[in-house]
Amino acid sequence: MTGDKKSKTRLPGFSIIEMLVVVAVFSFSILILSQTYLSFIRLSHRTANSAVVQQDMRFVLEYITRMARHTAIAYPVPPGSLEAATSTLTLSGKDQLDWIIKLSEAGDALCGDSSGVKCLLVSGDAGVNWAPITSKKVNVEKFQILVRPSQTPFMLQGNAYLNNQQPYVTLLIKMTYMAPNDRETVSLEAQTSISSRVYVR
Amino acid sequence: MLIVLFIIALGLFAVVSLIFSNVALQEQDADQIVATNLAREALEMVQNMRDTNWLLGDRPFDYGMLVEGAVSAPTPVVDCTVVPVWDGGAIPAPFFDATPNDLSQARVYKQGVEGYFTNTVTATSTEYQRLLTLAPICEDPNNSANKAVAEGACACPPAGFPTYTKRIGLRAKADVRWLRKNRQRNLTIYGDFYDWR
Repeated sequence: MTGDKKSKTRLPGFSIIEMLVVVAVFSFSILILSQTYLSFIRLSHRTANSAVVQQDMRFVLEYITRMARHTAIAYPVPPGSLEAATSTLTLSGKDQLDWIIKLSEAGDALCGDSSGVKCLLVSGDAGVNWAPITSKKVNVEKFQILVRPSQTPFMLQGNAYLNNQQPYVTLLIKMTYMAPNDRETVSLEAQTSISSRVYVR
Repeated sequence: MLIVLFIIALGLFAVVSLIFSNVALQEQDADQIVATNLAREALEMVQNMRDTNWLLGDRPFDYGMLVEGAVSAPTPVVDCTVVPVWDGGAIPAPFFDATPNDLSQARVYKQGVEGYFTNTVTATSTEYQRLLTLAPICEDPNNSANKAVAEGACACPPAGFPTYTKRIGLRAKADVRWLRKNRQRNLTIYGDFYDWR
């Protein structure tokens, strides 16, 4: 009888069910918190990547705008003419040395160590030396240059000029930050046009 | 215990709000870059047309913008809200279309082949709208120090008025409007273009 009484006495502590519930709630909370934390980290990376792309886009647009405004476009000798749309802009610099801005090949060593990245390269000595003007992990997916008119308006042929349109450059760029995670990849596409301020006639 | 939880929740809420507002501002910044360059492009087209008119030499500097009709006897336009017509291909030289009267009629599209942004109607529309409003800059012919922009008008007052009758330039206002998460954003820039080099 005494033994029966002892076995019915409840000892202080938690039952197995209570323990399981607590562990389940705790694990679930940790899971939610870690997912939220990872999402915030991703958002933070995405924001930082976006800032880099925007900074590059601003810089490149302003750089090319200034160059195209105040430097004459290097037209081919007539009857040659510029192509409809290219990924190279050539401007006539001082001492017969052209300024060239072009899109690199994928994986060009000048673009940094990220494989497959295309960057924008600039040369101030007619293509002898090149330097990148975009960041290492920013891939320039599109760099389209359209110059109109396609022949120079400043050259006389016979008694008439080849055309009467002030040179005009349109620039379309798309840049993407190459992040290891797709959700942290950011793209930006912008376009502007520049009317040349070089008045020869 | 409740107070501690409240303080922790408040701190977390602040951090989360900061992160989300940062992301929203970044997106807004990206749109702003596109809009600024679209607006600048519209002003550059005005400049290019003025310079091209100079090269042609047989017409006023604002021909195709504030005046139209015969080159020898141009007349003021009736409507001075215009959109640039240009698509980088079939229409290589920009000109202006006065049909749109407000931004809702001036949608920006993506041209199909090369993907240029253009006001010319194509299959792919964007969130952006772009409109140019032109106004003459008028001078007092008796005193060149006195100038005024004839806001809301497409021409300077006719001869015989006491002041500001001589058209010496034009003011172009480029408006760009776009939607981001159902919120409307606007950007406006101005440029003054005179009939002198």
